[in-house]
Amino acid sequence: MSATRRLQKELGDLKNCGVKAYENVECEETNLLKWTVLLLPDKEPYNKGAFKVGITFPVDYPFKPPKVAFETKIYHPNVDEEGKFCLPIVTAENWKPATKTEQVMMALLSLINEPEPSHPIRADVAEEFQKDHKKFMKTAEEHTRKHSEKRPE
Amino acid sequence: MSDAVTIILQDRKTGQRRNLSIKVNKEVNIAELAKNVERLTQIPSDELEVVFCGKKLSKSTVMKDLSLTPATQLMFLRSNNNSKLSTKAPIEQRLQTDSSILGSFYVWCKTCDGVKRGKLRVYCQNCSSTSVLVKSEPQNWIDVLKSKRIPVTCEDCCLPDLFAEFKFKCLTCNDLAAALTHVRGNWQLEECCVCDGKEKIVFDLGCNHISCQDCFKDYLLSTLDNFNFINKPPYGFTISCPYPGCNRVVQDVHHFHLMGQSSYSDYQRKATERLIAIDDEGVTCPNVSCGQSFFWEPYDDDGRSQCPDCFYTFCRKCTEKDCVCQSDDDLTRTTIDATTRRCPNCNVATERNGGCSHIHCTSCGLDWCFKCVTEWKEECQWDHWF
Repeated sequence: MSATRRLQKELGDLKNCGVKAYENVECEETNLLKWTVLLLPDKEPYNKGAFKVGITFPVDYPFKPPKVAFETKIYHPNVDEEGKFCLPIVTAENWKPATKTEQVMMALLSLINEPEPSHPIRADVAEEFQKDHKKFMKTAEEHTRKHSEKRPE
Repeated sequence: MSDAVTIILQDRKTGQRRNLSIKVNKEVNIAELAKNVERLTQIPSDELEVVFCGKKLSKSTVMKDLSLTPATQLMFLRSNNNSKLSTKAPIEQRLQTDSSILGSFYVWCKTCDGVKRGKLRVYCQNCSSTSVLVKSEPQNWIDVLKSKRIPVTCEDCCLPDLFAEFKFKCLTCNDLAAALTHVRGNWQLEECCVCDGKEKIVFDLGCNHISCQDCFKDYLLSTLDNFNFINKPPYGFTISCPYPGCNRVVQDVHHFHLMGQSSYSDYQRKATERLIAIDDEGVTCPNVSCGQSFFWEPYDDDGRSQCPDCFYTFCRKCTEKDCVCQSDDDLTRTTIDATTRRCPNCNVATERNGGCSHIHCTSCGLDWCFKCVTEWKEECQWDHWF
């Protein structure tokens, strides 16, 4: 099966799904394998901003998982400074070809909304999250204000 | 179209047994075939019963539905009036089972090199005769794949306590073939969970998440790429349903033939290597032209082994012919040692190029901590982030 056919279908479905948690699902004009999605978390301290996520699909998609990373900086125990994170459903061992991008986005949103400090990628942030939650919320809110994208009206 | 049908006639009244060959049109039914036999033998056709595939055929069964080949034998039985074969099921139901038993299977046919429709045949486990009657109908795959599940009476050897032996054949070429329990017809024309296509023959691991043959093949091939098969005893290295969250697995490696011969051999070799690697006394021959996996004898061991296949002798630790374990001038080895840590279970050299210290070994599947080089524990969760 060609990656193109499935990606076109998924792109259409995502654009028309009406879920408020992500918007501006777009692919590069000349490359269907590169998408960007604007994530709109609904929990503090991230609910004031929008976060751009880049998705790169391999040519043998959907038999290999897409690579997903934040393009907008985010202060989060599970996302590193380069925007990378560990999301089990898109790892090579756990990937299932029937997984749709929509499910990947929902999994990422739930990781952002409910951080997992027990599986951190930034130890300092995780420690702050657990030991000084107030300070964490303040830093993250400030960080969101400074670095995140504007939420679409 | 007319073809010769081989018939064995067992006359219980006279105790005689005859072989007949009758040319008939494939469109005729069993009643008409019996009339043909009557003309040849003068035995009234209403005294004849026809046994095929483990059961008595109804008179209205059409010949072509039986998928007969010139080599297939039909058993005609003339019973003593006192001991007529018992027919419990009504004719209508019988017809239905006839067609489902003959046409609802898919097999991997080596001769045709593909997934084909298959037919199920029943034999006596003792004398291999086809003249058997099943005492109970098989209800599931286990009934036909495991032996001694379905009792039969055999008209040939007539011994007590006999069981059926089931065999699958390719409907196209008639050769014996392996039943594919996870392949079925897509009667409702449901969508493939991977590509949304609607194909007639689909894979279903028993969970109703269906995928088409092309997608399942690509799924297998991409899993073979970095050998992501999962070790699930007693099935061995296998693959799970392509649907997210579904843990059903392929239970029979015959399904992996779909990948093609060379990829299937590749799978077999790699799966063997992995199994051997898990075992403390297993080793894979490092000779580039060999690669055989074998178990070494733990007696009188000097750390070296000889491959039973190519007779190459090597050190099991460094896998070199002339052991370099003690030498320190091996740059590659020094580099590997400096940049990796060994999996505490299978000893595979592991490099960490980012992320947290939680390592999932792609070789043996162990979850371990890169910091303390032991199995991943609660403490690692809290303390060993970096």
